[in-house]
Amino acid sequence: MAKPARSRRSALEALTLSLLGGFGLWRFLTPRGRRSSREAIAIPAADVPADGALVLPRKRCAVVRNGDAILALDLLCPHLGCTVNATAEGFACPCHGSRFKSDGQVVAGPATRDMTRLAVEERLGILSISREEG
Amino acid sequence: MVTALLKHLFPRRVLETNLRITYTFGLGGLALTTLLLLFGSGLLLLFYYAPSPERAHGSIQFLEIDVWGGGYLRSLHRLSSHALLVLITLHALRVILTGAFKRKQRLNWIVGCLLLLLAVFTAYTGYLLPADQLAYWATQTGMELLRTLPLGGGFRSLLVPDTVGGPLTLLRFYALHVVMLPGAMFALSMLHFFIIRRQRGLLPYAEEGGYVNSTPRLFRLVTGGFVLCSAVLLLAAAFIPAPLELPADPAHAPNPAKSAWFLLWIQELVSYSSSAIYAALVLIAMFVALPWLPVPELERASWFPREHRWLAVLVLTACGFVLALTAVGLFMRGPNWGFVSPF
Repeated sequence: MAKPARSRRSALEALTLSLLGGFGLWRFLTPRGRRSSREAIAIPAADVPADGALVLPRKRCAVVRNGDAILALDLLCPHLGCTVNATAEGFACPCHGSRFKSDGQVVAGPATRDMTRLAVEERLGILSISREEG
Repeated sequence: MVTALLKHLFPRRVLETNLRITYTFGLGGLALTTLLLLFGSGLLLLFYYAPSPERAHGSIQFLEIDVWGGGYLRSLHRLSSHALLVLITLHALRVILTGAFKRKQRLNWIVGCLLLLLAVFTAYTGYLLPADQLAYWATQTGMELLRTLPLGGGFRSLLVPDTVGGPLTLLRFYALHVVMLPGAMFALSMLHFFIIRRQRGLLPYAEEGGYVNSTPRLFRLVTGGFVLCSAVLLLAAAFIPAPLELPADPAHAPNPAKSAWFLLWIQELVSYSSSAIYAALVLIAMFVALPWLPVPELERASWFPREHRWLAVLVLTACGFVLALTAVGLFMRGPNWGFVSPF
């Protein structure tokens, strides 16, 4: 009867060791990210055409003016994170073909959510757009 | 001495009937040949590749333009990896369609599945290394796909500690691609061969004699396959150059942005709905669990056994499905992933 006890013990040892090792390896492989502060984008409000859009691909965002309303959209596709392209009708994703209206509303799949709206503020003719960077 | 060592990888005696080329087509041996070519060409590429986002693309350009034979080696490495993926898949299909996956072979089936999955993963990590547009976008879409799976976020943070275009991620993919994954694949393929040897060659199921010495007939086949496969790839590499796109640019996705061909069927699948990824996962899980599924045991392995007819139909249908998705993704997807005519 000693045999099962010993194998149970060695199984427990192996389990403990692999849990400890796995935890250590996990901690080792996921470093603390360098804290990036909120990324702020500032552009002159006059750059955004009336009833049109200004696309800032480097900043991965678009600023859309619709009458008096101004909104900023994240260009990351809410489906799988490709950068969407501006089209005549709005936006289209080159990776899986999702389509959005110019206000970011999804019109065709596979995306199931609208494009993310970013906080935008107008002060003295300057638009500041901010996004949380992970 | 070296020959003797290599001979020990193989069984000493084999069933004469299993030496028929039409039984196995030597697919496993051919896959090992491409793996060896990958090790050789990859080792030489190490002399020039710089695993940092700023220098990676430039180092490949230097290799292609200023290094004698550099472009050839890169092409050989790329073609061999494609050949490996095709050969392992065909090898797995051969094992399924001849019914050679039950009982005693369960362990080797799992080892083989691991080898197939590792081959795909190694190829995927290799795609990021040139740091061109294809590299960036194929990796980006793949990693976002991973995030949608249960526990996927955790795996993603293991693989991508900063961002897909970032230095830590490139270094991590590099370490996996050149040390961890090839090491694991080498060890597992040796284990794969060892298990076959221990089982005295490909299982006959029914012991009915008919064994012959492996020397010289098995080794003649092995050497022939090795030489033929190497020759085809060495020649093809001279005529089919490996592409290098513009440096990775997170601001501008190529339109359409297509992933690596061997993952294109999954991209096509999720372009209908994100949850379609579960269909792919179920398919893969069933593939791995095949020896445990209620499939009748066979007296002996042979092509398209009558007892496994429904299994053959199912497997060939699944293959056709994956091939069709790949073909649609390859030839019928245009700007913004819209349908275009292939002609």
